[in-house]
Amino acid sequence: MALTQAVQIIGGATDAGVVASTGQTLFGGVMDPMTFDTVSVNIMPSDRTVNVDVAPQTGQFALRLFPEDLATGSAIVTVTAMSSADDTVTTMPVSYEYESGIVTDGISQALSRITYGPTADLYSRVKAIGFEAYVNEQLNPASIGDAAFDGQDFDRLIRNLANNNYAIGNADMDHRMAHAAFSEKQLQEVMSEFWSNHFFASNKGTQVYLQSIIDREFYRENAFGRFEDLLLYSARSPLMSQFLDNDQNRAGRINENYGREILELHTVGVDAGYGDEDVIAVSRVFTGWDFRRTNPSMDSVPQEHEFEFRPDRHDTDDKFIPFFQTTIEGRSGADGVREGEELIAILSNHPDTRSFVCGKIVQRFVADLPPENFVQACEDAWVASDGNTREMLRAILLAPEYTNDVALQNNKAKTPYEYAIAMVRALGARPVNDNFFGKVRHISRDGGYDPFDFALPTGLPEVGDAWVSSATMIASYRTATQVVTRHGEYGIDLQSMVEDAGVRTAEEVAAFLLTIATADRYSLEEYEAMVDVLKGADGIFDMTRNEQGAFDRATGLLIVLPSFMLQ
Amino acid sequence: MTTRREFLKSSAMMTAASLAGIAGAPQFAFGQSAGGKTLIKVFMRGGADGLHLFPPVNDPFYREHRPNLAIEAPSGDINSAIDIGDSYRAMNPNLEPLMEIWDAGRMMVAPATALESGNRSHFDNQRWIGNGARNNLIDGYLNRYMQRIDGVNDPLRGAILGKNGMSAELAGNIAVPVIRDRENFELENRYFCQGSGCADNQLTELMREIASHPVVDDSMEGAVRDNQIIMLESIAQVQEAGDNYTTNAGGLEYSNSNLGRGLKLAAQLLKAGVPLEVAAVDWNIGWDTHANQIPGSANRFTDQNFNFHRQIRQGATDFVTFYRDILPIIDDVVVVACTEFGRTVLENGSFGTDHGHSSSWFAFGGPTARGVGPDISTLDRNQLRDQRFTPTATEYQDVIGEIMVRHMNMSESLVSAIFPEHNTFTNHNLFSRTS
Repeated sequence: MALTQAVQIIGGATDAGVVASTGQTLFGGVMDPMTFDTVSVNIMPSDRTVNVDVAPQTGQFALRLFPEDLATGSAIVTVTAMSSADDTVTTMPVSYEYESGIVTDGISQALSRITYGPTADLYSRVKAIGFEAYVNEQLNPASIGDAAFDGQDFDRLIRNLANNNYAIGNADMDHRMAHAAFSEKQLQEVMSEFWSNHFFASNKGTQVYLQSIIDREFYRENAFGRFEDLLLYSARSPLMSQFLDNDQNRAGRINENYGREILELHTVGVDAGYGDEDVIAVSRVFTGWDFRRTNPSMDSVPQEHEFEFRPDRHDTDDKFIPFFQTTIEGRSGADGVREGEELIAILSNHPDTRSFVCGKIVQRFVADLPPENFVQACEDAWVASDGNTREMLRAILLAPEYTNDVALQNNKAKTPYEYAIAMVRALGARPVNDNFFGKVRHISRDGGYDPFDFALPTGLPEVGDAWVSSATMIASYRTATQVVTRHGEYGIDLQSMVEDAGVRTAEEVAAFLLTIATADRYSLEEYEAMVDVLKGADGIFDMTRNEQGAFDRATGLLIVLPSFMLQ
Repeated sequence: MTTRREFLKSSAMMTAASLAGIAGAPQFAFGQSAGGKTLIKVFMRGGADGLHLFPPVNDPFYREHRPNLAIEAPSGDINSAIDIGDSYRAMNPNLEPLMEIWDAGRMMVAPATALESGNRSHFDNQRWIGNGARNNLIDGYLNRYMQRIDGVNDPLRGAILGKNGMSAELAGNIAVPVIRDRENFELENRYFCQGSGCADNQLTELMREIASHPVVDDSMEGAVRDNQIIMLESIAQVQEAGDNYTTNAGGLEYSNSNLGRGLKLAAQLLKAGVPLEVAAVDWNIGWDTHANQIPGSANRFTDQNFNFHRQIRQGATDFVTFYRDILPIIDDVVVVACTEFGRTVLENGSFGTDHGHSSSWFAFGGPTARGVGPDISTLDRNQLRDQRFTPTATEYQDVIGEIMVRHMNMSESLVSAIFPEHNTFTNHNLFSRTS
């Protein structure tokens, strides 16, 4: 936009002067940056005055309105360009009035939850096509071009694996991280991690570990699949079977572990009201659900397995399940497996399952305490679509409240895994070599998010209270702060990233980095600290000189900011 | 009641003073905390089998219900149970190191302890026991204790030790540090402070400044900031506490398990005079023994190549290491081991046991008096809960409540405030030792 005045605010607010109540960056310019190298900004009624730099090359400057500036619902911003060489040389002050709006406040936050962290490109894309179109696109991953990701052939990470449980766990984790960090199919990856965690299973000292990669691939390919298909898959998984002892569950010698957890953790939930008799009956239904090895014995190659139903171990009596007021008719021979399939169909169509599973999905995307209206929307979509999780997600993510309910802002925290990946995305890190993933993996693992060293069938916790602790923070920070001096090993080049974005001054760069890292909702003191570390001891940030030190300091600060911990 | 913010504001001011106090204190000056009493809660997650830890060897039904898993009555054989002078119960042979504390007259077992209203879910029971009530309270009972009782204003008044995650007992309005081990509980920002214009610890100073800025209480952002402050406030004390520490346990050393790390941290803090009042530690060794509770080898109950047996013994050794290490202040410290439920009385088809009801809790130190607490008298199926589980002989609230009353000197009238649904406190005289 061409300047019409000596100093002018040209961007950030809507044409009607509406700004986001969670904070808004405004961009401006001065006509004569050779004379005017500073802009004095006064904001009323908060009566905050701050001087911001003018970029000598472009004449641009940036300032930020914070929620405290918008407490009354509106703010008047007065800008006066000045010369640091001669304080008598100033322009006429120009004032702008802004109104605080809520219309689009939640979109940037929503992007931090349906992806593993916004990027500059993501913001541009959503601005161009709109939030609804972006969500619909994400829900249809086949439509998403992902050539840059595909071109890097990250599947190499899970090919030709040695027969080593630990190495295979690492490979699985690295493969997930590659998708989370670099694929355009972000929501698919978020949901595949969700299902993998909902139907959580890990190796329990058996030879079944390659299966974790196979299961994870299934959850990725079926991230938006039917719930019943996902449940049936998990019930047949050899990894699940060894994890919850169903391979030991046989007629006359039942093992209740899987029978209990399929009710409590995978379907109707612990509050549904079933009792021990139900657990026993369900366990009897699943007697004989076992697995067998499918590749020839060879120590150098990881064992492969597949589901096997063993009629000789199956309890062929009728099973009355009081909670469902249903009798599963006992069957012998190969038909015995039908009992479990019938039960899975009953479980998948049960209202308590809809409520429990929808509650967990809403917890992932909306709030740690799932709001009833979202859960209901999800359940309605479940009924209408026969358990199609794509439609359930659409109902949640496109509900107007998802992006305009003020009460739902700033209410979730990142898990250490989400934290590690968000760091990669916010700083534009690149896998310069495959050791890159090992480094990122450690950030997550040291913080306590390690699906391969986690023994509880609940899966890793989603709620912020589980992760917001000094042990998690200190462990993640200790590993993560290595990026500050080892930016080359992480493929981080903030200087180029900032130059590409066309921002130049400390205030512009601070706003740019913070907007990406914090879903555009950072605090005044975080912003001031960021500007300070960019300017450094001499108080000057000038991109015509080498500012690597400033970018290193900014990186270190960025990853320990409270707002960066939020999701 | 102190709100989180008020606490933090005052604790930030207190830190310099308390650090100075530590620096000026003589080395190994024991027990300087104002209240002077400490409760260390150890949780055996997964549902530890109380009938296996303290087997009722003299009950004929025990062998009948557990043809493979029942431990022999004390006989001197390596695989038999250990005599603790009780007519009904004995001790698992892998717990043998604990006999040192038992023989000193300082250990008790409450062999049928439960959350009476509990269910068979690990996760519900752990949460409800931690909350102190069968509801969805956010604050845990130890956090509620910290809110109700005026204590020393110190970021390490309560702490979770030896593990990464929060414990339900200590979660709540007063943020507490979570410290996995001392070695890694520091934030030297050597990566940040390089080049010109970067004073030492600028990153942590910036964190402190930002985190001290008030935000809406109870928001997630508030929780992040509070925990950052607690982390920063605790680092120096934790580091300092380890500087002159050596384990003094007659040659025993702590294991690198969550229990060993947690107890070692507790010993470091206590021996340095840090006013640690309530701590949460985990002892997780795979207590959820649905299958293969015993090996196929000859020494079915003691084979030290079998993980479960070895880790029980290792844990018992960690307890004794801690007991010896803090012996000069053992009067001031109670350690109580808890679990969410016991296992089915009948063994299942996989040499294991499924989720049950009551289990064996045990404690040592402070006013703990040697003995076996209220117990069941028979495993006759008709006397079992739902014919499958050991019933409740001791409600867990009374175990913890008695520690708070008789050890921590809390008013008995506050027990029902700490455990909101527990209106009648029963004193079982488990902590009645007079030293």
